[in-house]
Amino acid sequence: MSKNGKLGKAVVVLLLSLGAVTMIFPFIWMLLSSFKGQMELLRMPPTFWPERFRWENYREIFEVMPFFKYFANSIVTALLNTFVGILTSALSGYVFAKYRFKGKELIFWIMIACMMIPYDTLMIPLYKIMVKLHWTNTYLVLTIPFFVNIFGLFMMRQFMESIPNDYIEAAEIDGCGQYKTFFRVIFPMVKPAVAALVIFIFMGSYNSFLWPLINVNSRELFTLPIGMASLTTDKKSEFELLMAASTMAVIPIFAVFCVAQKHFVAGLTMGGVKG
Amino acid sequence: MILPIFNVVFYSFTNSHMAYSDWKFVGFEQYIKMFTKDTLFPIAIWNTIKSVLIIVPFTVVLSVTLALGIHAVKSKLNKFFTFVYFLPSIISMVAICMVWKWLYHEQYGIINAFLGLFGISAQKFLGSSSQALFCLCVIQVWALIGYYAVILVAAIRGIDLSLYEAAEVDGANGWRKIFFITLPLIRQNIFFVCIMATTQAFMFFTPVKVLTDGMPGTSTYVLMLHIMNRGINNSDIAYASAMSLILMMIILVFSLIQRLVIRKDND
Repeated sequence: MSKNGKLGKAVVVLLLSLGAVTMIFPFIWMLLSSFKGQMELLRMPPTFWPERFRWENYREIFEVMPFFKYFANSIVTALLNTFVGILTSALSGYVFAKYRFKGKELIFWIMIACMMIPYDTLMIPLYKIMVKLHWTNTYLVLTIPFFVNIFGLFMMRQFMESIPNDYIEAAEIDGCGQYKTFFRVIFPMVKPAVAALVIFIFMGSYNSFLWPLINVNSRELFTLPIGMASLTTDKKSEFELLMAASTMAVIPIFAVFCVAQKHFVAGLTMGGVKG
Repeated sequence: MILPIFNVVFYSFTNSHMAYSDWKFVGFEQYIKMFTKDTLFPIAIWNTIKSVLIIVPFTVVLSVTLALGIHAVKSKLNKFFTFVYFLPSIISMVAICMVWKWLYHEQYGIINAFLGLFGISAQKFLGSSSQALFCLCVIQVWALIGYYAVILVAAIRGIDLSLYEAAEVDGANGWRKIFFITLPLIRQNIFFVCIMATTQAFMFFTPVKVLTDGMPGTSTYVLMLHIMNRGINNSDIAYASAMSLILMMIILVFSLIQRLVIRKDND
């Protein structure tokens, strides 16, 4: 490598680091601001490091909003949606990958075509359906629509198609029924894909904003994003509380990301069947 | 999934309203209303187009640059940068908006404090009708470039290394390699990013709803907000469906262009 090349690399690293700072600074600022007192926040020029770490800001969050309730709503529905979503995606993906039935191609292509339709533009009719079913303002609206995931089905089908039929035949010869074949043989083989899909569905549910916004208006059912958005309109400019609430909302997902990133990479590099 | 698609078309030709149970077909009345009576519709369309024009070029250029940069650094740093740039895409847009609301704060925000160091007077950002839309677009771009960059890095990794070796034998330097090998070979992926960013920009909603709700004045009043206000708040299902359908058509046209270009490219 020439001198020129090394210098170029250094410049690239420097620029990327600058960019990284702009990416990460808002989060650091959020964290630091969440510990400051109101007087300190409104000081000009702002202090970087909090004078004193005020953990009481975090306690206060629970007083100004039912943070735990919102958080529980988000987490519980997201976990349930992920669990059921994975199950339906994997099962239907398996059916589309390995079973033969009439109209299979047609149904599959209709579903793929539906994937092209931007989901947000269907909010109005979906809302009307929810109203007609009397699902608005119930837990049903936060869960059942998330149970089926076309993207998940599509992804599972792709992965399961690459599994040779020999495995299924071998399992059958060994006396496995259809369910046993699926859960003992096929499902473990697509684990990397499942890991990626877990992240995908969980995040989609946990972070969803528009859907609960239009379908839920009782505070009992608020999820975290909706609850936080309502905090801005309820109480003006109590930024230390807003920052504390955001920090607490971000931390669990951040933790999941740190742990699951490994699975993500493994899933992408390993790719199904060996040899 | 199919039912709502039929419904959105169906409702748009009726006068159905959540408050009344009866309805009848009214033909194109809703569409006529959109283009003649509703003064907010042109404003919403114009603001949406403006945000697309701001978001898409920035997103594409920055994510391509970022991808080239991330790809160029060695493994450990590479992992770190991927992690950092990808971070906003795992975090709820609402939380991101909260943080930016604080950064943008007119009197006590860090951005104005920073500008003050250079003697620039405090900007209003979200409170100013000339800056607000741009500020919202900045959030969107900031939140998404890492995500697209990671997609593009994967594409760059897939390029056959022997091409670069051959180019080196021919005496090509770093820039030439980027412009004559890397970029042409990932052009389909770049195009994909373009379309994704465009689609998302047309459906620009969360930052607008959380931070400005269309204000100040109507300067950040985008189409999705108009649809939600009419359809959900005013219960005018028919009119909101008609607007949704227009939005859907615009987005489908872009997806169609993508398919055609990629197909042509493959031939």
